[in-house]
Amino acid sequence: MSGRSEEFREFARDRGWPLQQTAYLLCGDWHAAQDVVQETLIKAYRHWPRVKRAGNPDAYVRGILLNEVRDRWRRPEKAVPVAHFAAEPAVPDASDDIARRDRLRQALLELPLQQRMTVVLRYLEDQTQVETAKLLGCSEGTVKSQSSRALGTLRTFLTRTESKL
Amino acid sequence: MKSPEEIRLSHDLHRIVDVRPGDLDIDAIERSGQRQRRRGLAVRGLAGVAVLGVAVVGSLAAANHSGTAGRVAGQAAARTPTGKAAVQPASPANVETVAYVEKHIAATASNLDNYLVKSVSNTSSVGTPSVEITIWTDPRTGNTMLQQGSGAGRLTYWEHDYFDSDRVLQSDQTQVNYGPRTWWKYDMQGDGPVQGPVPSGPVGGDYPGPAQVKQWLDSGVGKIVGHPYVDGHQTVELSISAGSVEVHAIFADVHTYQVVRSIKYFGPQSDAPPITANYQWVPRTSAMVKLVNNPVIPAGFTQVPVGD
Repeated sequence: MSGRSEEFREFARDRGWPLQQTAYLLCGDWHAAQDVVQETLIKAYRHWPRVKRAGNPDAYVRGILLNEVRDRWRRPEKAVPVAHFAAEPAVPDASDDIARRDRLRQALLELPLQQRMTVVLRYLEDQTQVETAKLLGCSEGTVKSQSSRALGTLRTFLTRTESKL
Repeated sequence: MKSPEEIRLSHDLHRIVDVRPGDLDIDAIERSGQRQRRRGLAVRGLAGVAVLGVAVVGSLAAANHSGTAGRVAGQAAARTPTGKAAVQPASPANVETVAYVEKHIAATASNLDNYLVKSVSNTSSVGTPSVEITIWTDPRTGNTMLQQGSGAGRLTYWEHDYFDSDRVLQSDQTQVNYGPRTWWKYDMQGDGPVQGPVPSGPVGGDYPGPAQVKQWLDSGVGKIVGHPYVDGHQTVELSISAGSVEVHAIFADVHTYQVVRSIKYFGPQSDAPPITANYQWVPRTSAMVKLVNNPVIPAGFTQVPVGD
């Protein structure tokens, strides 16, 4: 097995699952998330020397993933229809927490893509504002304002849907 | 410093993604990466050949006048700049056509009995949220088990369809509703004896076996539109159109030719969103076979009239 292959496989094994988690919250569908991550990793493999030269393969590949999601958003015919349903295993009792998280997931999908990316990077991946700004190619101020707007929208959505129950 | 709201959001997001649907197929990703990389190199090589080709045309014209110069350029054109032979076109015997793919899908018929088919799809409705439905089919019996929802909305539904000795279609249906802890059973009967011969083999089932794929392909004109990765499978994607409207897309694994995804479109006249179904071909286990073919009523559940 070549050096490229060994290094890449180790990277894919290590980072494949966190990338899928990020992609899932951005796409709202596990199948679409896997497709996005596969495309991302294929691109990373093709340009592995460049990925390594970048110094931080994780950030570089996450950048590829965000571009892949943006690209799919621009080509709706390639996007997998979003399933508006809880992906958690069915359980015999109605749990408020599960229902609330499902509503949160739906609310997240209602956000504009840039705000959704900001929320996922900040609150799932725990990236700092500086790192988030770098990954999204915007200023820290934009990250702050996008986070604030997104939190406001999520709060409103959750309040509205809770009052309907 | 994060606010309590942000901390709770972070916690909830981690819980939402705390469901591992399956590992990535790193071998397949690597193979595809290698293929694309080779293709990229080959395309760059061919671009070199094209440039040299232009030179050949010019130099051949010049050779008519100047002797050996054109022949030297022509010899150089036979190789890429890296010295390797240029990419050869696919052999006609290996050309992938819709008929070729359909033939390979048809060949999976002999193997169907080795699997249970799990289909996960969305419903398509206008004005109400789509819901996710899981249907298990046993190709040996045609029996299906449908699961939908979670919590109070969870239900499981079994259906067994068959022709009786009078050639009348029968459909035995059972549903368990976990919210109200009830169940019902309904044996539906067809209007009368079926005209013509009774179909051989299992009647029911909801899975993209060869017969289903043939029916889809017969509904329009198929064409191959790509080879995307779907759920870890490299697939061949067939688009089926009626007139200028796409009605179906089918994604078959390029190694097994089992269909792993189908998309049904409703056309520009309808607001209904497409239905996407993802299929897993699961090896048969006795426990799962029993579950799909035999309704299970949980203890303490009350039988109610159908539809309640």
